[in-house]
Amino acid sequence: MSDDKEKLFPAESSSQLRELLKRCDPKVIEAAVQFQKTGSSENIFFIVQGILERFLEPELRPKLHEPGSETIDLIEELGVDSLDMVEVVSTIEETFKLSIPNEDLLAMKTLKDINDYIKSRFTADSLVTATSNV
Amino acid sequence: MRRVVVTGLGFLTCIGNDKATVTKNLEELNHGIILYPPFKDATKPVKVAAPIKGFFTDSHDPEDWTAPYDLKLSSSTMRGLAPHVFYSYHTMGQALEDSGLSREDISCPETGLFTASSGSGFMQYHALTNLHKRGIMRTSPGRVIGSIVGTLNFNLTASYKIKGSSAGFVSACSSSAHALGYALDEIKLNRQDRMIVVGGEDCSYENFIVFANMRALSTSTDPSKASRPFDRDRNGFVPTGGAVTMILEEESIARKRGAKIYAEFAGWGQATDGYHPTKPHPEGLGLAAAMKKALKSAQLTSESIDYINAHATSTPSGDDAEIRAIKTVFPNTRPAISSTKGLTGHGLSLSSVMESAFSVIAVKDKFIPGSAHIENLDPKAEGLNILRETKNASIGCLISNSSGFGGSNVSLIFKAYS
Repeated sequence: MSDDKEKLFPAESSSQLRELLKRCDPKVIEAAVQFQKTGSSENIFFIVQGILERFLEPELRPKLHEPGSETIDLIEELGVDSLDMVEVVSTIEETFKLSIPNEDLLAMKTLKDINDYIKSRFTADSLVTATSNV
Repeated sequence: MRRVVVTGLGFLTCIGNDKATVTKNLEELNHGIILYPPFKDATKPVKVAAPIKGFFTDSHDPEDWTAPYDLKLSSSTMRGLAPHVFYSYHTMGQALEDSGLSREDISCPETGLFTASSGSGFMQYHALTNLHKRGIMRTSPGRVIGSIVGTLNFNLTASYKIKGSSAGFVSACSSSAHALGYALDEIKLNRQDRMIVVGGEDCSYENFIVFANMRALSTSTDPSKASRPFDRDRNGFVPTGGAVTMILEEESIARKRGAKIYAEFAGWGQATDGYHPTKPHPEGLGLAAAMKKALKSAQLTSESIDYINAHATSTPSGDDAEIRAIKTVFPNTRPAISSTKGLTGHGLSLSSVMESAFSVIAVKDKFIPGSAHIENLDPKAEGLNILRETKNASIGCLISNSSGFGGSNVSLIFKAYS
């Protein structure tokens, strides 16, 4: 398992990751670095929320921490610009080393959708699948 | 026939980031040219440029850019910008305040926006490098928007919710003259009541240095001598960038709302040399024809012109061609002539609207800026009334010239408003 993880996340990718996420909350950056080392799924939601927050206008950010925020429609209700959503998805793809096909993307409307999707790509069985997408 | 007047101006130039500073520097002939730090080392063949001050856009990540004050742009907007677009928000804000118009006033079907820029080679380079290096699906959509030549119009029309006519003009150094001319037509032809015209160019190392191997840039190491249109020893132009916004309105609408009026935009003309991709026709045929057409469109004769704001960029061949063109069109009169590029250098797509803005300030404030840095007048200019000093004078009518690559020539006529 750890050999597969090293192929997926070589050591030098940590500095690239920090550069990619440099405008995120520092705790989010550390959680992402930890994820790359351990593959533990417990922080996926925190990282995804942190990436979204980075691309959100300051006045909208508090909404991400309100009750029910994980099921709010990001584009229709929260008002995330569709081009900003592309930036969010692109950053998520690069952080988690995934490639998300258009069909899967269309079904992702909420934070919960994104979180569940990434978790499903990182179950023990599907780590091989994730590797093949890099 | 409808009349069109100039009611608002905004500036981000090497001779000032506001009208008061620009006016003072035009009157006193204070230039904005420096020994440009990125050109310092021995491998760089040119040493001088005329950058703007106070706006940091050296990073290819727009979220790093800063202005001397908060331009109140969302990070989402910032991600889709190029440097010259960033500068234009400053000039839009200034021009709106200058004209007394609100954002609501300009968001209507009767108000349009025309722009001129050569785009951002700087942003395009980084976006394409990123595309090749990190992959197609890692290309930020914002960076794509910032890299396309029309980024100035796409961003401004979205930000200011412009609902009238909108387009960008791409004719090199005539671009913003074309934008102004066609904007005039939009109002005269009753398609629009108001047109905002914005010219912008990056102030990046790349934007400046690309002309070096065309041997078009001045190799002078003395900022006070490098940009010297009409001087016998001129040796090329000095590059500059920034942004300028000019607001045009139909006269009765401007008067009805009590707008301050700088001048009347009375007419324009254009003609092409049909000669060479970059060199002007040696006899200045296209420019002479453009000036004649402009006079005709404004229903004026050459005798009516008091001042010519020349295109003259300080290149040997360019200034020559304009001297001949002026002699052709003005055989019997001696209008005052100056090129304000002596102070600012050459702003490429920005130059026409910048110089038109300078010209209408001169009309309103009753002075004619001198043609700076001439030590020895080119003998070919003998007989022309090229001002070596600023002159206090009322301008009745003036022509502003622009000539671009591809032999395009555009002449714009402004008159004192009565």
